[in-house]
Amino acid sequence: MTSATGTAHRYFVWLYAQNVLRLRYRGAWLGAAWSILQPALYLVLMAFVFAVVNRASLRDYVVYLFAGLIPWRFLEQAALGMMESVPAHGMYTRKVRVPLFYFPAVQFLVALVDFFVAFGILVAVLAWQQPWALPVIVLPAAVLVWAGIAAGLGLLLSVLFVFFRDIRPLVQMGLMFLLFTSTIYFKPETIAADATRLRLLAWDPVCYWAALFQKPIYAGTWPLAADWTVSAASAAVLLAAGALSYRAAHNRMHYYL
Amino acid sequence: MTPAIDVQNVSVRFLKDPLRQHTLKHFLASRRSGGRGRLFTALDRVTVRIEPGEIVGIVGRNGSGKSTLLRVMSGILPPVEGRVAVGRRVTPLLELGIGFHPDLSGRENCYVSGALLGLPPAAVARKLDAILAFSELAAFIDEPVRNYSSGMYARLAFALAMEVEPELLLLDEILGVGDEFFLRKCLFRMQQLIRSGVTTVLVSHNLDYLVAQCSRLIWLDEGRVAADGAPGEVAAAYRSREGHRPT
Repeated sequence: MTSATGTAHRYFVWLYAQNVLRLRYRGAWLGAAWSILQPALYLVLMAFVFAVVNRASLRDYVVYLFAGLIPWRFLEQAALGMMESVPAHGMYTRKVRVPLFYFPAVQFLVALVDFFVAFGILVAVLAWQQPWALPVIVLPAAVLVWAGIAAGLGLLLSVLFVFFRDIRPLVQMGLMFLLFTSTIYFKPETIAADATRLRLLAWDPVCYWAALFQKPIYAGTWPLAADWTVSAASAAVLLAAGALSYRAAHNRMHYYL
Repeated sequence: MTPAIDVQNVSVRFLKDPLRQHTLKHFLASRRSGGRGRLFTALDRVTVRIEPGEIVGIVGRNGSGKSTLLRVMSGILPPVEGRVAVGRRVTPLLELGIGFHPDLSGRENCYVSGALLGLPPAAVARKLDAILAFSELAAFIDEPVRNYSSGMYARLAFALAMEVEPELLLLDEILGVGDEFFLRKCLFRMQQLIRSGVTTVLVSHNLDYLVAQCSRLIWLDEGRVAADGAPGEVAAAYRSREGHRPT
């Protein structure tokens, strides 16, 4: 591939992601406003429902929930979108010489933009709720770690999905299990009396990932070294697994598209 | 001289009934039974060497492996066996309008599809006037292509494709639509391109067109090279065999 072709193909990824975002709500009532309304309504609904379920004050719980749920939604959207993206673009991959990982990359970019929109909603809630604490300065690093986790998992799933088209329900169930067993919806102090559950939580990597956002945003504290170590290691392992599986399988993938 | 394309003993085998076989369920069941997926051989130890400047036609019945060979030559499909070496910047035009989105305007689609064909945005901007002039769509270029007729769609797609400036052009039966006047214009433009010394590989069912355009003709039959040589001779052999083959 020449450098001009490489530039053109990278531009294609950027342009395609832009078009997915622009065309998503074109023609819809309220148009692009849904890009903000849709995540805002979802988050408000979730906050209301789970504040009732957890018997928590909505004003307090909303910040806790948003801090964990917004990065989780990014991970889920990126992983599921990336997973199906290669076969969904068989029309391109059968007719043009374009690296297959560009299609998961488009979905990753789209999910990243949606994440920043939802994060803007969180910032607005924070402005209404409580003052910023100094530890929020670690958030760019936290975003980077979550981006690594999402990209690695998404790439790995996108390779697996080419060979096994029936894994979607399994992946969805797995993600749902990880979400509901982690500390994204409930605070650890609500299960303080249950030593077994607390011990199990110590083995759940999602709790460490979530802590990178929950601690600086909700508690106003710095994430612990263990939070960074487990999260960064998860990102590194998933990125390596995604990259290695893609490298090993990308020639064979063409025969399954 | 280094060949433009050197295909050596290339084989390609696809899975039969791919949708059923691309599942975890099938994978687990086939591991238990020790069986392998059923395969279909699309190319069987094909060897083709194309020199720079040659205009090569490929002919054969449906399913004979013509399009698969073009996909292998263009680097889209890596072969399961054999070796492919391509010495030039290859431009595969296996279908017109790849990447066109119906809700985007003609202009926007030129950028998206152009990027897929290897044209950076600055190059598309530079060539846009030529694309508009050739396609005669200046008045509609900011309309969504959803509103185009199939002829207008093909005109825009063809005009864009012809601006790629290839060193090695691979064409797969792309001229199927458009009115007769525009078809003649396209054929003339393609002829200009081919005659300019660009190495070209053409796949078509139009044998007369291939004989008129090509310096060499390859006949593919059931994934193998049945004949390779002067267009008139290969076309006669192909007609003679296919004329007697039950359909």
